Amino acid sequence: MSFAISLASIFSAFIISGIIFVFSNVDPILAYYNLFKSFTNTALLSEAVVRSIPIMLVALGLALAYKANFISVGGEGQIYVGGIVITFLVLWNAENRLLPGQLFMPFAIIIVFLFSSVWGIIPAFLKAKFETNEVLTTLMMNYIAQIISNYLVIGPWKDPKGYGFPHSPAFPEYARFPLIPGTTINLSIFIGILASIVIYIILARTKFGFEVKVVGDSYSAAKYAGISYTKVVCLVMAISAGLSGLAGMSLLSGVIGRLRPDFSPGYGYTGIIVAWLCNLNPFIIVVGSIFFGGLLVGGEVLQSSMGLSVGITDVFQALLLITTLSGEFFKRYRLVWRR
Amino acid sequence: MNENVLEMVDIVKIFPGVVANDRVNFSLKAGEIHALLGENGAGKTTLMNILYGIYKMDSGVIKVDGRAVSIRSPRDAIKLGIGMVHQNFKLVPAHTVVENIILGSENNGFILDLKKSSEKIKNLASSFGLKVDPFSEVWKLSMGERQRVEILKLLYRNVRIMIFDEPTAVLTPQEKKELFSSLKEMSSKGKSIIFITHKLDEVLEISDRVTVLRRGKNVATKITKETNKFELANLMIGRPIIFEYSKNPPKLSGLALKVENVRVLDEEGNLRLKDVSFSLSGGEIVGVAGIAGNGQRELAEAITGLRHVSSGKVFVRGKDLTNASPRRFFENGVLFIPEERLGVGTAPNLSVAENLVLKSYDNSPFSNSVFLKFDAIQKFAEMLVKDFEILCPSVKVPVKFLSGGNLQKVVLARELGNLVSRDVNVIVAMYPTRGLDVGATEYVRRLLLKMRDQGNAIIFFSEDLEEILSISDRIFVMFDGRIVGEMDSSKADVEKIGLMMAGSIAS
Repeated sequence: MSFAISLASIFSAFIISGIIFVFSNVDPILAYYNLFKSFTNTALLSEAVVRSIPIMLVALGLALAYKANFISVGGEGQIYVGGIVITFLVLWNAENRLLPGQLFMPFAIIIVFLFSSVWGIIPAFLKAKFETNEVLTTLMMNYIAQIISNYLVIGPWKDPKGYGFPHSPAFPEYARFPLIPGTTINLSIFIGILASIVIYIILARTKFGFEVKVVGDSYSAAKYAGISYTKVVCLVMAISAGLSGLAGMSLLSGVIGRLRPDFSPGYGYTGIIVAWLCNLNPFIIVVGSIFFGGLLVGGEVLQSSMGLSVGITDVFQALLLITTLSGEFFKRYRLVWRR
Repeated sequence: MNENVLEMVDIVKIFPGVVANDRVNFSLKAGEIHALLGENGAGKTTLMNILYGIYKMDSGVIKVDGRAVSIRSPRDAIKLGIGMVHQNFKLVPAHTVVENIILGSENNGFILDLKKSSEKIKNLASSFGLKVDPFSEVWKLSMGERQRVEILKLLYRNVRIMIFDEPTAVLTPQEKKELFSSLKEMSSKGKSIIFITHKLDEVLEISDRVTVLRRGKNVATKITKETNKFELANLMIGRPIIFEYSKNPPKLSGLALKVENVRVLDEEGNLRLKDVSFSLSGGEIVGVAGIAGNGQRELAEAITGLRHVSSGKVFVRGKDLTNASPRRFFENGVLFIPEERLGVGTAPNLSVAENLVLKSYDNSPFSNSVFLKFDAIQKFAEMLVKDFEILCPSVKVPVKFLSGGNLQKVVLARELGNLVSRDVNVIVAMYPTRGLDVGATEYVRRLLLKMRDQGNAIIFFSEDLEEILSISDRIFVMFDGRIVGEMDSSKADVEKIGLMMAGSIAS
């Protein structure tokens, strides 16, 4: 029943977007064919997987936070924090040359994770101590991180040899994730897969995961059971933000190759949709992220082949979220027609 | 007097997996007080929710004045003259009495004439003995007064069939007396009253007739004068029950809990506990009487580590635990049975097994330094489920699907099933039998007495004076953040306790 409702939700999203296609004077069937083309074509599929990596990392982190009923929307800002940290490390190592090339990436992954964690602990601590609303604080912090990142890229970190373009110097080869041979997919995909396994184990098997579930289910029960809310949400957000920070790193070191203004096209927000659509299940999130990666690629195909705005994929994503959340209602209640 | 104003014939209501009402018949005469008696889960409230239009029945007929009617919502019910006073009052605290009463009434114009309405309310109030100030804000009223507002709401809408769902649960003995006299007044003026309860004494005191439900079925309808407590109890639970608890004299061991001049502030900074001091020995059981909201919750939380104590001291077996964490209190043998079973005592979506280790999951044998050990947890849970006779399909179902009694057993099993300190434990129980049926209530009381006999120190809070009198060794009465009375239960006087609860006298 619950599976049928999920299918019906997705189907409704298709119908509603179909109507929008019709109003944009586009044949909906053809539009959907183009939208999902990436799943029939190896090159496009590879691109879809590339797009899925940051979404996956963000969504996995958010799923953990949501299990603790900490409604973070801070993935986007944490991506920028990750981007700032990796760029700093690249520039620092270019100047000081302390780290040999082969050690740079493992070191960078740890440092990016840690600094992003600190960023994520701030709203968790504020909530635990002062009962601030985490939706507001994490959202505000997104703007802060993005603006700092943009400032750095047009100010102190601007590439002196960049002909005035607002971007940092290119990352050296040792600061890039290698590609899987024959594809455009970089190795940070394995960070995502590893993270999904780790998050699954945390939630299903560990004492910490048990505490997360108790806190998420009932704040009062957790307090009564002597579980520290502060400890749990700070730790949860440290992991969540750390993973989102790695998403930022994977974008720069895996795809773009340098820091650019506004380098994330909203992956932090897409991650929210994916986490909920996949029912906060770490394994389904991996698949769901690839599906959403495909949608993003498909949106670009639509734009180039049919002249539609790329925004159409945003509309489709949003509809999918709305129909899924509405579907939750039908999972919980049965409709009865009274005569 | 012999005409039926209401007939419910062969009412069937099926919830997934349970037949809540199985061809139930119920009739009500004009001017009658008819008690609907049954344990929790017997189907009393379901039946009345059908009558009031909250649930839709699966089959059956409802006749009002001999005419079959269809009731699809409370609005339909009120149109037919049927009204209900719920257990939890449905009032807007910031509004005045008159505003609450006219809220949703259909004969309001575009501009409210509060004056005219208040006149009508005053008339109704005086003719039925329901004293309340129409322009007082509801949050300032006592529970008894709020209940009167609910009754006036029905009278204002010309309701003639009134349903009361366990109306005495929140009242002091004096308020209960006043309610009963109002009920009699209303019935003498032709109102018909359905009185839902599981308390036998109330049935005998107030009703003309009584219908007993057991497991969704009619067991009997009796004329109250022609029956007695034991017959009713027998009908209600299907076996005779014992009303007296045979108690051994207390064998006091050393001091278990000592509370000195404790003051507690609430979230808004109001003083909720005002210099409370008492001590509790191993082997004794103390019952705390009082109307909810007089500091009981704050006291219980202060002696279990859940609430910050702003001044004063809490000692457990001589050890100063003032403002220690709940975990430390637990580790020192302070066991807490909280008021809310679901949401505080248990995490609703977690399984029975997970809830049974809610406080001990990070000790061996349930976990090592990182991972939980599910086999050990499951084995432990199955053992407790058996020992405490918890009815559940498996230890893996979420606790929110358990009935109130079984939920309470989960909490009791966790707190008492695996006594932390082999020495003397302090057991703090908030309303341990509230909302439980007779069988489960008996079970809980016996368990508390058994714990006492084993040398534990017990303090429990209750709104049921009979319960306090029957199982405690000493009685405290709380009013306005203080312990205003303390007495031996053998020398207790109900009338005096009632007055203390209302703040009229101190001992």
